[in-house]
Amino acid sequence: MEINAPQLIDNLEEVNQLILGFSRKKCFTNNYLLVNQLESLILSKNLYAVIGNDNLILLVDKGISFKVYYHINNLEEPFIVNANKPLMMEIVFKGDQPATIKEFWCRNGFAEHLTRMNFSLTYQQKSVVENTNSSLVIKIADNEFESKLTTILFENDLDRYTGDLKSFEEIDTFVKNSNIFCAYFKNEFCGALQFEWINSICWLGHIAIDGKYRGKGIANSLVASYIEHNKQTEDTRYQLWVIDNNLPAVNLYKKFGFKHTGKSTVSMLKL
Amino acid sequence: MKDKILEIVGQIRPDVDFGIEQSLIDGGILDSFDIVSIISDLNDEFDISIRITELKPENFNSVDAILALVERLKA
Repeated sequence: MEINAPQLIDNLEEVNQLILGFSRKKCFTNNYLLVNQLESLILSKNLYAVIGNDNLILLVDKGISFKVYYHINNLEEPFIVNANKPLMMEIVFKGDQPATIKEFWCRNGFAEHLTRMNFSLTYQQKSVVENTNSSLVIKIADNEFESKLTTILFENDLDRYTGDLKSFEEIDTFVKNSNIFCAYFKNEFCGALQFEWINSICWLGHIAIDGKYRGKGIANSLVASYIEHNKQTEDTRYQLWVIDNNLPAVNLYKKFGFKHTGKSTVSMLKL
Repeated sequence: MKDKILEIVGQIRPDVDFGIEQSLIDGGILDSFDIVSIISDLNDEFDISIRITELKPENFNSVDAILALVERLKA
């Protein structure tokens, strides 16, 4: 059974009625979009719906792909989506992997992509990590050239579907808000870290090191700067997502005292 | 009803003291993933339908605010 092409959603009441109608008891959902996010997506004409008999998905146009938010009430209903871009979804879970819903999406053309873990730290839990590399300079990015270098570095490093790829304009806005650290090794640009305050948590958005410079403690120094620079009180909270099999990154964060909150996401992809 | 709400939110975030917290959303304690889990359980437990227009921080900043929301929807 082929489901029709996605339909553009053009008002909040329409999506409200859809979600109410498809949020039945024991519904499987990964839809954590809040009202302000939905309003913004509708305004920018980036929100679509694919409506089945018992199942609904909302698609958010992310440029190179659609991000999928689902409300699945009937695991037996075939739900093959006919879209003109790759489809990507993230399923949040605690403890064991969400096998039932993963199997449903595998039957409908998706494949497991990667798993990310949510790590958190409060300043008072931080472990002291020494930085001994005197050839390294860490600074807050403050010009357009550093915005360009950071954009290129992140483009080459991020997973293109789950990494929430940032445009030059977005990176430049982070730079203008003093939300990017960059690293120089012997005066050569070699790494960057982007962070952002959301509510009262300082999120590490992304960190990337140029391949030629790995193993020199650069990520270590960037993370240390991110923690110290953003300290407001002993209770300052930091959070990030890390790919579970990226062991150098996982071990780095653990060294600073970050702990897995227990929350993880598995992403599923249909190309 | 408040006890049941405390039980629901406590299962989702056992690390949070819901008896005292008043800034669950504005303080960044609950994130959107937590909210979706809470809504799903509230809908099932109290047989209500939380509309997306109610997905605002002020309705989820404390257990009392959640209680007021549920009472409003059941009225």
